[in-house]
Amino acid sequence: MANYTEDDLAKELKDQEYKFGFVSDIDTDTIPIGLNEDIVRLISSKKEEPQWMLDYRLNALAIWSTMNEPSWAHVKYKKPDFQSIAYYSAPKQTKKYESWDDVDPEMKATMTKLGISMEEQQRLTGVAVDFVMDSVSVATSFKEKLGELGIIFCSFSDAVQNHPELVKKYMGSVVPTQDNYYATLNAAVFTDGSFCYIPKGVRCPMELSTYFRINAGGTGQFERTLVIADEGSYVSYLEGCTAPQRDENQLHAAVVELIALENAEIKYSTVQNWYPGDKNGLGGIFNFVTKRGVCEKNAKISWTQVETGSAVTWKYPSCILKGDNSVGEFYSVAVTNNYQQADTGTKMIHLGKNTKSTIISKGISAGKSQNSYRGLVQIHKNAHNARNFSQCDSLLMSSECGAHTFPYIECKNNSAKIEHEATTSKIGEDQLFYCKQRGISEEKAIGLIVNGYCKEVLNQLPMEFAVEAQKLLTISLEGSVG
Amino acid sequence: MEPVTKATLQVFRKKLSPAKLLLPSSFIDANEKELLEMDFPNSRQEAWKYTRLNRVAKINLESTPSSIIDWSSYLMVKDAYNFVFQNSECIYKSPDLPKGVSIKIGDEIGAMDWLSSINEGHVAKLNVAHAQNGCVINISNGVQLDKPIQLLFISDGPKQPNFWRNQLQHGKGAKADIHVGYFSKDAIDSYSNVHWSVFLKENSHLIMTKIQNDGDANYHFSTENISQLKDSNFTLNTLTLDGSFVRNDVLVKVEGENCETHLNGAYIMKENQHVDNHTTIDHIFPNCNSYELYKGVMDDKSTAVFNGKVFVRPNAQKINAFQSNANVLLSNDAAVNSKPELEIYADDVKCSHGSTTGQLDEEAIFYLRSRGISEAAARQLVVAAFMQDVFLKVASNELKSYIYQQLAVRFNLYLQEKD
Repeated sequence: MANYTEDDLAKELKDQEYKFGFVSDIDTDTIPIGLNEDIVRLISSKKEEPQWMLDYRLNALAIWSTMNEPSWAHVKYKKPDFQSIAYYSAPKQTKKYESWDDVDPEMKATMTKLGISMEEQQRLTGVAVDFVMDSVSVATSFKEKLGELGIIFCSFSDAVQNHPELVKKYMGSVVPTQDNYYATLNAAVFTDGSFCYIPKGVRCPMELSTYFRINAGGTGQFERTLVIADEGSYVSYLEGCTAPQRDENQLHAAVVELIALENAEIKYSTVQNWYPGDKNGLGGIFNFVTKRGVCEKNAKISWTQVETGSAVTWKYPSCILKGDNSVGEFYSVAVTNNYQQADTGTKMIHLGKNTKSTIISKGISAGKSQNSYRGLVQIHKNAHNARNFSQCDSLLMSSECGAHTFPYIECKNNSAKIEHEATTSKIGEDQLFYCKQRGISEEKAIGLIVNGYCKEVLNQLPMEFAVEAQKLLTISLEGSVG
Repeated sequence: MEPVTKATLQVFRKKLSPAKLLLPSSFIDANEKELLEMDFPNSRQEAWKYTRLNRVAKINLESTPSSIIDWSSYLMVKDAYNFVFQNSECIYKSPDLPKGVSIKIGDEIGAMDWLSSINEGHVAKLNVAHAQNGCVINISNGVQLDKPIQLLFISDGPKQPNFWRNQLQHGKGAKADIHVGYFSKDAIDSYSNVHWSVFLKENSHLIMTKIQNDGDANYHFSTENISQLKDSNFTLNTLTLDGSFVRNDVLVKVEGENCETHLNGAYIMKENQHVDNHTTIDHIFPNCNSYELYKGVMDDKSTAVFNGKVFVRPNAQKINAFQSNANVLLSNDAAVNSKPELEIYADDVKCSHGSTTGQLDEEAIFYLRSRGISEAAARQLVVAAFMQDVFLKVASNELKSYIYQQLAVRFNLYLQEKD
């Protein structure tokens, strides 16, 4: 990271539009478009799911059909036609992979292009990757090593087959089926995702990682992630997202549930780089995600996210601080360019005594984009000595973009201390002048200032991710400054 | 909670008399049509998320004959041009207005005197439909008032509905200080709804201070729509000293360059009182500054809502907008909901907001106690110090001492109750 200079960046960025916009030519098994009971049954049967899972899905579908799409977010988009989406698309496979060598070379190549080459990652970083391409998890590395510690890290479908008691107990416990429109949709049609269980007192020795990629055209990605950290355990979980370039809008509606039991700690990092649409706002992913975690006594959940992609983002990673002394953290950088729209933020629900939460949100808007922070800090009556600190800064890079802040602060306890602070401004002329005066070109100076502005959040990311995030930041903002 | 239906608003209106005020009939007719389609908003509507109107919807309004009152006891400052309204009557008019100032009351107001104004939401629309009295103030170009205009609105009697509608036109380069006081007497489930449309012309300067001292049994709704033209300077101080249910809607449209806007607010609530401050500052033109400071102290089971919105429209560059809301909760049954919002569509701006909620500084109280000051007195001092920021914004010294006096009365009563 130290040798990586602004010059390298500039070179890298030339002629670069969406780096991950390639389409992999892999045979996929896609079911007919549309959404009805038969489709749900078909998905369930394709995944060879037990009856209770099918019942769960059908119940969700019934609830979903009575719900209306929410419109409160500060985003404008053409509502997706839920009947014209194919809800299941899997790379065609004749047999399950026995080992890494069995995996289709084309798919390996895709992963290499994504910069997450398995071999390299295995060798260099020791990251265990669960790669979800179009809804089906294709390979999971380091399974054995994790298995020795009793850690379960597998695809969601495997978990349904092999650990039904855990799935049954925790699925829907943080994000209930009827939670919101997209979460309910996800509950009905989710295809795959990741499942992770850390047993009591185990400190997961490596970062667990999943890569999501939407490949086939006209499909939606509905994955579900469930991370359970049992008492006294620790896990750091990384999630990356990319999608090929297409001129239609694709839908991504995921659900992530984190459960941190007593004294456990979960660190969840996301670099989201779905295809944002082209310069004229055509195409791109609709990213409507429900992420929520629950903290028991003395537990801690930390969300870190770098959001640079998606045409429309609608995402509020939240913490329910249920147990006494639990801690919630939210660090976010959201970058929007061209016609991107983001409405993102967090919810910190303080229920237990001495609970603490920190929110650091950095928004950068450029081009004609709209970037909103929407957050809720709620102190319940019994949350004595609760503490919250929120800071939401917005940086404006063009005269046609917008930056908005909608914090909700609700306090019902008189021993709570809540601070919220938000600023909106552009890069200071004086800062630019200072840099230029010392021989740094304007473009470099802007890069420098933007990176400095996001540092607080980037510092929270694991090393490999931080480098990627930094690159992404600059890619997303290329040509938008000045 | 039972859902509020369209019928509820119509039932609520049944016993209200129609506007006899002089709003042009075209105005009232169009409004009536919309009003018939409306209802009391419920908590699903964003603007009323934290303020429930079920209690309001249930009151049975009825005009009662008003009693004889000594209005001079309500005066906030001695030396002013006074106007006093008791329910729908104007009971005192200052006889000696300076040159260049005209204040028309009730029947004196002609249909042409009313400028078109914004009436969104059920509160403003009810006001159009039922306004009984009010004043139209015209301050001519270049007039600088030697003393403030003081308007008292007294709601008298139980279940009394009051709809007052006022308009102020502030001429080019004019300068004035306006004190408005809202009081109630013998109120039980009374309702008052007051609307102000204020137009500031170029280079004018206006300070409006409203004291809401409504007491315990009045539902008070207040709407201020302000339009500012080039180079004007506007200050609105909203001091809610007492009131069981208070809702303030302030909308400032900054429609010219180089304007300055100050909104200050203080609220001190106890028992079951509820106060809701909604403010919007809409920056349409470049090179303007706005400052907003709202502070509140909540005790017992009182609740407060603050929703401050700052809009910066596209091309409204070089805007500095600062907003701050601070709250102290004195009791564990009190609650505060704060929602400061920024919506910015221009880039060369400096905008910020801050919101805090906490409790009194225990160290400060300990310090005072260690110097022999009683716990109760120490708390009062610390509260007063906390609120001071806002009170200091009130320019008139006489009004400032009135506020302190009112607070002292309130606190003493309050401290006795607590002891």
